[in-house]
Amino acid sequence: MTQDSQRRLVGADLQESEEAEAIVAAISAKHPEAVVRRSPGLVRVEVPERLEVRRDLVERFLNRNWDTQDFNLSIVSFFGEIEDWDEDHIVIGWSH
Amino acid sequence: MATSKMGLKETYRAMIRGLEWTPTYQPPEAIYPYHTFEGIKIHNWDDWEDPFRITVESYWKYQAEKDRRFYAILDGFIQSQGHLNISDARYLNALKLFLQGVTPLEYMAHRGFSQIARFLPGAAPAFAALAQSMDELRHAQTQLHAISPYNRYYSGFHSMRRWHDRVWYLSVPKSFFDDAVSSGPFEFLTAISFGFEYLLTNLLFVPFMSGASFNGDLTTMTFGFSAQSDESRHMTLGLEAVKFMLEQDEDNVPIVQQWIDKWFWRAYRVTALVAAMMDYMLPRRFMSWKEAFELYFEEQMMNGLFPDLKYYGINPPRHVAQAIAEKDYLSHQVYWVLYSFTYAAMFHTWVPEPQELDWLSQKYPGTFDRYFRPLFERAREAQAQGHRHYFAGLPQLCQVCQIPMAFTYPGEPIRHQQRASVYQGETYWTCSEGCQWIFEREPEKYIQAWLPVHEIFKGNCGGASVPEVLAWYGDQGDSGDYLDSQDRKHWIAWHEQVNQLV
Ligand SMILES: [Fe+2]
Ligand SMILES: [Fe+2]
Repeated sequence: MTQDSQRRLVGADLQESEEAEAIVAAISAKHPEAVVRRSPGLVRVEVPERLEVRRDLVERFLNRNWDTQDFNLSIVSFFGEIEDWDEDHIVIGWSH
Repeated sequence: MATSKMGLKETYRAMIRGLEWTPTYQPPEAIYPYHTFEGIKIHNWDDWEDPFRITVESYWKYQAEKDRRFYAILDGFIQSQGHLNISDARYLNALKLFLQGVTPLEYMAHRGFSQIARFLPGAAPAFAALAQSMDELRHAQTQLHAISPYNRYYSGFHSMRRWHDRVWYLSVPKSFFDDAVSSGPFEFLTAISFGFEYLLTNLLFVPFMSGASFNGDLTTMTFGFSAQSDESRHMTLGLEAVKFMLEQDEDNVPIVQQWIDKWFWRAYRVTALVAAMMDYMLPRRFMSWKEAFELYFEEQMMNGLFPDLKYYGINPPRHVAQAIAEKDYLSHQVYWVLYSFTYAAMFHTWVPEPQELDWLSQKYPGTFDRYFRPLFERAREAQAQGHRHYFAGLPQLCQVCQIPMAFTYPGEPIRHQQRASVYQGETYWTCSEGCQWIFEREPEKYIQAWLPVHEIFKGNCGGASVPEVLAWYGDQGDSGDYLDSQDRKHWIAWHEQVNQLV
């Protein structure tokens, strides 16, 4: 259990795949403090307070076009609240 | 296409908003009769926002892609004799529990959400519920397809529908869902979308899928991922539903709080079966129940979600401290119950191997060696002398969760709890403060429970003796210890054949 209650985490669990690796790389590029944990078949990324998946970063790591709605094919679970989801990014945070 | 000029948000608004209309032939309350009696006040249904912004077009597109991926892998699994590649045939007992206990709930969820889609007056929540209803039907179907290849080779897979309605431990998940669908629409959403999907579903699916992956079960892993990718949308619906009720009217807050208190405990008790499965039925283990509980419940929910809900005046679930206290011994208590009553269960149990007992000691340093290892070591000795330990007689069941009364006082791994409540001159027993609180809030509901042990004694289950009940279940060698099972014999024979060929 996280002892530091000031630092509320948000995060997402993705199924292991090349596309998920690119998404995780994009999240880590945007949030250098991101922590990546792995368990069989899964990759999980945790970020304090707010997590942003940016289309342009995912595309850079994938080397092809990526639709933010394709996130539906990789996501297994998340924690936090989906604050925004449009063509350019997906944001997970806590609103209060 | 011209429509691609509209952004995600505009497309969602154009496709989903304004779909409802004002009826003229009938009064609105005749068309939507169920959304007011629970006391929830809604002033503006348009305040509901689905962050996934899913439309019919994108829904079909993504679901079709998920199914294409799933069925391609399922074919490959069957063609490559995938059942021989799992870690050990003991693993399949986790799968049997899943097919018998969880898959029928997927189908019930399909029915429950189609009812919500029909009876909620707002277009946005109705569409989200409709999408979930279709998802749940897909989950039931893909699970049946994914697990059916094992039915050609192993026991415990052939009669899941019949068992779900009849077998004692399956009344635990069945009665949970029946409790939810027989409540009002807002309580149903709080129960299933929030209490189960948002708070606890990670504890069911994530360890189960990782377990499948680690134990070489390609087909289960794939349906798990495929189903769970819908789950994020379901979790969002749950959180959205709760926040929507809380934001619409302050009078909703105490009602929602009581539902959170009730449904956290109801759902948590169902996950007790998962706890036993995780710690005992996965031959290759990667995470203990306690670790999963700490990560997926304590860190994410207690440190993340509940501080957020504090803003609305919502507190963590009333009995959460008891759940946290139980994490050190819950899985051992429940597996011991399953082990003791396997003579009438449609799966096998066994004494863990010595190195597996060591793993449990290491994961549960405060409790395992002191309270539980001696039980299993004695059971192994007895079995070696030809006396496999079974509990003689039928257990008393909790009136609410329907689990045998094997739970103890919080923080005390071996002092048993039995709580009595009197209603209309009859005494009813519950396993914990949580279940007793739930019973006493709505005794008129829970006195109607179909308790398997009571029904056996009433003569409603084929007879009052174990062989008669097993015949009524349709047992075909599905019960008993793994060491004596057909599954084990076949597993050994097939692997000897494979080794000779290699
Ligand atoms: Fe489902
Ligand atoms: Fe109970």
